Amino acid sequence: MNVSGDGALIVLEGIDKTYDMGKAHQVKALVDLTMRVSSGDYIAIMGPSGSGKSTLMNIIGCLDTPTSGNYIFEGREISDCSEDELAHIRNIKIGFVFQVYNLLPRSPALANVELPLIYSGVPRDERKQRATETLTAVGMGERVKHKPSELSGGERQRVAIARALINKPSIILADEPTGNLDTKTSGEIMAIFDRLNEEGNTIIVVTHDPEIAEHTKRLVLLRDGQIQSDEEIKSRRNFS
Amino acid sequence: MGTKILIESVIMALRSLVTNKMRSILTTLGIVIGVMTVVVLISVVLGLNDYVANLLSSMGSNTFYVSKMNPMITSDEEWWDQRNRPDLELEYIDAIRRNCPHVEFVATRVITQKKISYKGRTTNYLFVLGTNEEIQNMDDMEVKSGRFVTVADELATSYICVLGYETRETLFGNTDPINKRVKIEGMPFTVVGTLDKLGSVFGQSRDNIVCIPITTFKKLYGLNQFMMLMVKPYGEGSPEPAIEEVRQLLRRMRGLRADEEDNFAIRTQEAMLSLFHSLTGAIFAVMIGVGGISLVVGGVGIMNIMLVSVTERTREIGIRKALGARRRDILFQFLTEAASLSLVGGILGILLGVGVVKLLSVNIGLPVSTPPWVIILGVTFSVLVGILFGIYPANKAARLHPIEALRFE
Repeated sequence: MNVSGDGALIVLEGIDKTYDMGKAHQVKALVDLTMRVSSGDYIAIMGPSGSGKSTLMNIIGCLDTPTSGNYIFEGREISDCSEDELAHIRNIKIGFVFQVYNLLPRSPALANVELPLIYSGVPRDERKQRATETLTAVGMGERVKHKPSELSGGERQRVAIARALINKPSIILADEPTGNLDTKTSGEIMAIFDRLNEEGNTIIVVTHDPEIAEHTKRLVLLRDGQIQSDEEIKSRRNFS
Repeated sequence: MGTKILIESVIMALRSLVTNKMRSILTTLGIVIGVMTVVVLISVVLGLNDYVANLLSSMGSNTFYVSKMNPMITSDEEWWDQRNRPDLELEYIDAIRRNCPHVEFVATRVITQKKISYKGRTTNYLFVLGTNEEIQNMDDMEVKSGRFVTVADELATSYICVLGYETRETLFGNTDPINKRVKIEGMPFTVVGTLDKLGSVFGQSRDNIVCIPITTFKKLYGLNQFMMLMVKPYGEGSPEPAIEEVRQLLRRMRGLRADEEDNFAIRTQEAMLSLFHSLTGAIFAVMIGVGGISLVVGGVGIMNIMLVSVTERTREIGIRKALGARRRDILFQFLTEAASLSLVGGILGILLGVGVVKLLSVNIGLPVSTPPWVIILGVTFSVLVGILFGIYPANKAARLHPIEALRFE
C-alpha cells in the first residue's frame, strides 16, 4: 500500500509497539495499528487504562519509535530518523501539553514558554517578544513573571499551552490536559483548544472524560492496543 | 547558535548555583583549596626567585664569593673535613687588593648579635655587622646622614659605627645621633652615620643593625667561620681570570702544595643561583603534587554533586528533551554547569590565594610576586577540572530516554 504523497499530516500504518519486561515476558502496547490524521483535525483518543493511549501519543509525538510499522509525518518516514532529527521534529513540529503541566518549577512563565525557542536558536529579544505574545494569546499576559508555584492549575496549563504553541507546531498533542483541573477550569482550557482548532491548528487530546471528548470532531477508541472505533462526533457540544 | 546556547547554559548554570548556595560552596571547597595553594606557592617561589636574582644582580653579575666552607655539603665526612679548615683571615682582603690585577674590589661581612645602649636606653640583641667600605657597592644599604665605614676606619681599627634605621629610632628617636657615643656591649663607639630604611625579609627586619669596621669587629669579637669575601672583578665579563688569581694567591698564602686540594671555597653567582633554583624547583614539585591532589579531590566533589543534580533534575531533562533539546544540548548544559561550579571555586581560590599572599608579604615580609598568568592558570585549571569531572554526569543526563525521564517522580 502506498501511503506517501497523499497529503495527510500523519499516517500510521501497521504500528506495533512491544515492551520487553525482561525474561521473555513481552507487553504488546500497540498491535498493527493504522490511523491517519489530516491537517485541521481535532481528535479525542479514549480508552481504558492500558489500552495504549499514552504509547500512541508518545509515538505520534516522536518521543518513542514503533517496534515495527510505518510512521509518516508530513510525508517523512520517522522510523529512519536519528535521535537528533527526532528532537528537531519535536522542537518545531510538535507541541506537547501534559496532565501534570511539566513546567520548569524554578523558572517564570516567560522562561518556560521561551524554552523551545532556545533549542531552535531564536535570538533572545525575539524569544522574549514571541513568548509574551503567546502568553497574552492564552490570557496569561499579566503573569509572565510568575513562577509555576505562584500560579493556579488552570494558569499553569495555560502557560503549558503557550509553550506548546510557541513554535507554531503542525500538531498539538495534549495528554489528559484537564486531568488535574476542576470542571469549570477544564471548560476554560478546552475552550482554548476549541479556538485553536478553529484557527486551523491540528489537535489530538487523550482523555477518559466523555465531556472533554465532546469538544472534538472525531473520537478514536482504543482497546488492547488496537483501534476499536474511529468516528466523527455528530453531537458536538456548543460551548461558545 | 553555539554561542547563544553557551550563554543560555552559563546563565542557567549560575542560576542553579545560586539556588543551591551552601551546597555549591561546599562542593567547590576542594577546588578553592587547590587553586589557593597553587596561587600562594607560585607567588612565594616566584617572589623568592625575583628577590634572589635582584640581590645577586645588585652585587654585579660576575661577583664571586670566597668562604671557608662550601654551601653544598653532601656528607658527614665532607662537613668535618671542611669544618677543620682554617678560618679566612683579614689579611686576605688587603692581599687580594694588592696582588690581583683583575679584581676591582673586595667586600666582606661577618655578623654577631649584641645589645647597644645610649644614655640608659638599651636595644634588644641586634645584628652587628663587621664590614668595609666596599660593601656599599654590593648591597642596597644607603647612607641617610653622615657617612659609612671607610678604608681609613678599617686601617685605624676605629671605634665608629653606622646605625640602621630602627636602631637609630630606638636609641635616639628624633634627635640627631651623629657624633654621639653609644655602647656596644659596654665598648664606646662614635656614631658617624645612619642608614635609610631597608624593610624586612622573611619577617626579619633589616633595619635592626649596626655596622662597624671589620678590623674593630675582629679585635673585639674575633672572626668566625661564616665570614665571607665578596670579590668583584673589573667589567662585566667572565670572572674566571679573577677567580684564578684569588685562588692562586690564597693557596700561596696558605702554603698548599701542588697536589693538595683547595682548603677554602670559591663559588660564582651562577653556582649560587643554580643552587637556589634546585631548592625552589623542589618546592615547585611539592606544589604541583599538593595542588594536583586538591584539584582531583575537588573534581571528584564536583562529579558527585553533578550526579546528584542529574538525578534531582531527571524530570527537567525529560521536559527539555520533549521540547526539542538534543543530546548535545543536555550534555552542554551540564558540562557548563560543572565548569561554572569549578570556575566559581577557582575564582574564590584565586581571591583567597591573593589575600594570603598579601598577608605573607605585609606581615612577615616574604618577597612575593603574582604575575597575571598565575590567575589565568588558576582559572583555566579549575574550568578544565570541572569539564573533565563533569563529563560522566553530563553524559548520563544526555543519554536519558525522554519518556523515562518524564515519568520520573
